[in-house]
Amino acid sequence: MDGSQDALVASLRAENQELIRRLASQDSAQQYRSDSTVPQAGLAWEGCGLTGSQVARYSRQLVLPSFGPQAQARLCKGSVLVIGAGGLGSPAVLYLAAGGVGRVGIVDTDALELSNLHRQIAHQEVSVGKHKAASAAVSCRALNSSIQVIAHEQGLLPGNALDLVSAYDVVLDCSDNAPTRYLASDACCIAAKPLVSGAALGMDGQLTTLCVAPAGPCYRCLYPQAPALASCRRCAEAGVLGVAPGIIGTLQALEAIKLLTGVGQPLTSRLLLLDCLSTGFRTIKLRHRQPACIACGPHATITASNLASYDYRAFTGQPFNDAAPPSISLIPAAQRLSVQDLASRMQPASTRPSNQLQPNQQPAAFSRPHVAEPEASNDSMIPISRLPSADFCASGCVAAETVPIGHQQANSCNPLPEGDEGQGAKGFDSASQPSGGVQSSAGPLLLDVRPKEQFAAAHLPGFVNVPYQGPHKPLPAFLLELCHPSQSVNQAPGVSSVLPSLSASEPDARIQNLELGLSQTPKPSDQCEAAGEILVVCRRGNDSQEVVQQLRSLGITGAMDIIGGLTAWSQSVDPSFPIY
Amino acid sequence: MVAVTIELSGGLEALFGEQKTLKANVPSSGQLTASQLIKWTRDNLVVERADLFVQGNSVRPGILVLINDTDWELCGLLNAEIEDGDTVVFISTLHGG
Repeated sequence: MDGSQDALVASLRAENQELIRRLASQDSAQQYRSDSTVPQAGLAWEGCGLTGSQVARYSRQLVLPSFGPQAQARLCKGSVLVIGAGGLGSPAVLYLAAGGVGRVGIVDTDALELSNLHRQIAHQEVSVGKHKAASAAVSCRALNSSIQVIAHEQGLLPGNALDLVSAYDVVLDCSDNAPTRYLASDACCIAAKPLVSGAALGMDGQLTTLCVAPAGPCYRCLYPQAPALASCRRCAEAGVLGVAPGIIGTLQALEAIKLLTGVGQPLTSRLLLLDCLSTGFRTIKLRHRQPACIACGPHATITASNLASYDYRAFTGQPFNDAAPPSISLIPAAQRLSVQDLASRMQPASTRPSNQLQPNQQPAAFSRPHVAEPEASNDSMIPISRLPSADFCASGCVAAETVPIGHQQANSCNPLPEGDEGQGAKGFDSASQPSGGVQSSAGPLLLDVRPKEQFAAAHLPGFVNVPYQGPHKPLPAFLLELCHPSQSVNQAPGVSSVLPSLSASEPDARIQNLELGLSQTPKPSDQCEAAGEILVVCRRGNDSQEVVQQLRSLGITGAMDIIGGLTAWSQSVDPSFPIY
Repeated sequence: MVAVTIELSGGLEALFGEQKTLKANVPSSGQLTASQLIKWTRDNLVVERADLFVQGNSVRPGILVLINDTDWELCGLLNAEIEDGDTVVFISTLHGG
C-alpha cells in the first residue's frame, strides 16, 4: 500500500470516527437534553427551578451542603466566556460544561496541531488541523448537550472584545499572549465583568481573579507597563508540562463557578503560584485597584468609545498570538545554503558506519585523547582537535566525561602522535557522538545549534550539537577551535579573548598540536574549500544565521547558514524528520 | 548585614543560574530598602542578562516583587524596608496558555 492509500484510509477512518461520535452525540442529546417526563396533573413536584434531568445530572453538587441546589440553579442560568481553547481553556471549558454552566462561549482563532494534544485535552486526534474553538465546542456538547456552547472563531479583537465580554457573566483569560491579556482585562474593566486570569509555562503556573468590584485590581493595575518581548517565553520554545496548564485551567473553572454562584471567596487581590517541581501552591497578597490605572481607575482613559482603536500590538510590541517568530534574513544570500545543498553535502546513510552509540554509552576513546588510525576514516571516535567539551553535549546521548580541550592540552603526559593528529585535524565530521557517524574526512563540519533537548529528540547524523545561547553569550571556545583550528589562536584577532579553556601557560603546546595536525594533513587543492566549510543548522533558520554572523565576524569565513533549518529539511528533503 | 532569602519564580531563575532560592547577607549601613536590595541583587546575584531583571532603578516591567508574600506595592515599593530574616520573591509574569 503506498502513501496516498495510507492517507486515504486514515482520512476515512477519521471521518468514520467523527460520524459515529456525532451520531452518538445526537442520540444522547435526545435522551438528556430535555425532560421527557411530563408531570401528571396534581402531582407536579416543586424545586428551586432546576428541571428533573438537571437534578439528576448535577445531583452530587446538589447534595453538597456548601453548594446545593440554589448554587446549581445560578450556575445553570450563568454564562462564561473562555478566551483561548488551549492548555488552560481545555480543562476549563470541559469542567464548566460538565458542571452545568448554562452558556459557554469559546474564543480561539488557531487550528489544532498535533503538538497541542498533550495538554489541550478538550480536543481529539481527529480534530488536528481543525479550528480549536469549534473542536472544543464539539467536546463540550458531547459532554453536556443540555447547555449552550458557542464557538467564537474570529478571536478576541479590539473591535469585538467589548461586545463579547458583555454577553457573558464571567470571563476566563486562558490566552497565550500579552496583547490578548491586556485587551481582555481592559474590556472586562469597561463591561464590569470579573476576569479569571490564568497562565502556565514550563513547570510553573499563575492564577488570579481580576476586575472584581469594588476594589479588585485589573491586569494593568498589576502590570501598568508591558513586559519586554524577551521576557515573554512561548510554550513552543520553553516547553510546558501538560498538567501545569491543566491544573491552572481547572482552577480557573473553579473560580468561575464560585463567581457565578457566590460560593466561597474569589481569588481577588491575590496571586496563586504553582510550582510543579515541588508540587507547591502558594498564595500571595496583591495590591488593590490602583487609582491611577488608565483602565479601571476613576480617571480611566481606556473607555467603551476608544477600546476598538487601542493599538495593543504597539503597546506590547507583540502580535495577538504566540506564533513562531517570523523568519529573519540577517546575512547575505551568499552565506546561506538550501536544505537540498545540505543533503548533497551529507553522505547517504547507507554508507555510514552502523556502530551507533546508545544513550549513556561512553566510548572508551572519549576518556582520553583519541588517536585515530590514518586509514580509519569511518572510525566513530572523535579526533582531538574536534573533540567537543562535555558541557554542550546532550545528556543521555553523549560521553559525559569528555575531556575538555583545554585539559587535554595541559596533559603533557599524553601527547598526540603526529601522524594521528594529522588525521584528526581533517576528520572533523565524526564529532556526532549520538550517531557515531563519520563521513568522508574532507566534508563540511556540521553544527546543530539548537538546545540540547531538541537535539537529543531528533537530529541529523554527523552533526555536532553546540547550543546557541543567544547574542549575549560568547560562542564557546571549543566551537571556535572546531571551526578554525589553524587560526583560532594566533591569527584571528577576536578569538583568543573568548578561549577561556586555554591556559596562558600552555599556548605553545596547544598551537604545536594544532599545527602538527595541519602539517601532517594532506590537503588536495580540490578539497581545501570543502574542508573549511561549516554548515550551521537550527530549528527554523534564525539562530543559525546569528551563529554564522558571529563566526564570520571572527574570521571563520567557511560558516554557512542552512536556510529554514530542520523545519525546511523536513518539508523539502525528509518528511520523516519530525517538525515540532 | 541583613540576611535575606531571595526567591525567583516564573522563569526569572534563568537569570540567576537556575537557582530558585538564594540566601544572601546584604551589606547595609542602616535601613535596607527594596531599591538597595534590587541593585545589590543585580550586581551580586544575577548571572546573565541583567537587563531582563532591572530597568532604570527598579525591576523590569512584568516582574512582581513580594516582601514576605505581600506585593511590595503594599509595603512602599522601592522604599519598602527589608528587615533581617525577610523573604523577597521576584516573579516574572507568565503568558503561556
